[in-house]
Amino acid sequence: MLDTHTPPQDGQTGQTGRQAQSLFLGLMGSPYDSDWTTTFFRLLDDTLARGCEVSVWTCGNATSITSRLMHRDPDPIHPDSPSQTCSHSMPSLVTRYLGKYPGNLRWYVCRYCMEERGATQQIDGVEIKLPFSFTTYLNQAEQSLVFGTK
Amino acid sequence: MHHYLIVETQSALASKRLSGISLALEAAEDGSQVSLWLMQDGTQALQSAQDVGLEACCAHANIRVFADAFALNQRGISLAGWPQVESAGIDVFATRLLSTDTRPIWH
Repeated sequence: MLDTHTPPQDGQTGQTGRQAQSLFLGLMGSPYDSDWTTTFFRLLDDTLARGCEVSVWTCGNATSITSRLMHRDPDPIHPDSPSQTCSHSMPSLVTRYLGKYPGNLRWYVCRYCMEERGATQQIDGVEIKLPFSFTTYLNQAEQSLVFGTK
Repeated sequence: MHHYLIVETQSALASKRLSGISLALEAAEDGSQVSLWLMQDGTQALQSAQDVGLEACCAHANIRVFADAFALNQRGISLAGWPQVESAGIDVFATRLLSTDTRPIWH
């Protein structure tokens, strides 16, 4: 039988580590098979805003996130709407973050995955790497998290 | 002692066995401190009138359960029946993720 308990208050979770200054995020899944990309961009925005150095590695279908061929149609309901919320595409988001955090964001694209999937026309600012360098960038960061599966 | 940050993004409808919740219980039984984070469709576990695994996590002394506030709002999910689950933003998640003694697992 399980006893009920009071959730620990802040400071009682047992976490004693300091805050990491660098983060490696591995993106493996297809960008549209769930809303994981929304979660990723929310996390990316927060960690960059607090000054963290973030390395992003895309594999598999995630290599299409930065394809310059990705296009989003204007809002079909309100095509003249001044709101830009329906017009941002993922590659345009990445371009904005690369421009806003030039020293803190590095975006890597796996060459083999990219070529296998025909996502070879990549936006400016990303770095195309051989898959063997994955562990190099992973080990350079203090903390890492991998999203999804290939 | 490591702190495990386990993220569950799948609903029971998509996954027969919620690995994140099971993993959280296993890690906690081994003596580790665990933060179980329900994100995306993982928040749908909160819509179940009775989720034995999630109830066990809420009752476990070594587990703290969080639900992503953004996902709760998107899906119109209330925490009314889950007083021990904490709604938290991505900033709280990031703080826990960036703690150097955290071992994150994404499901």
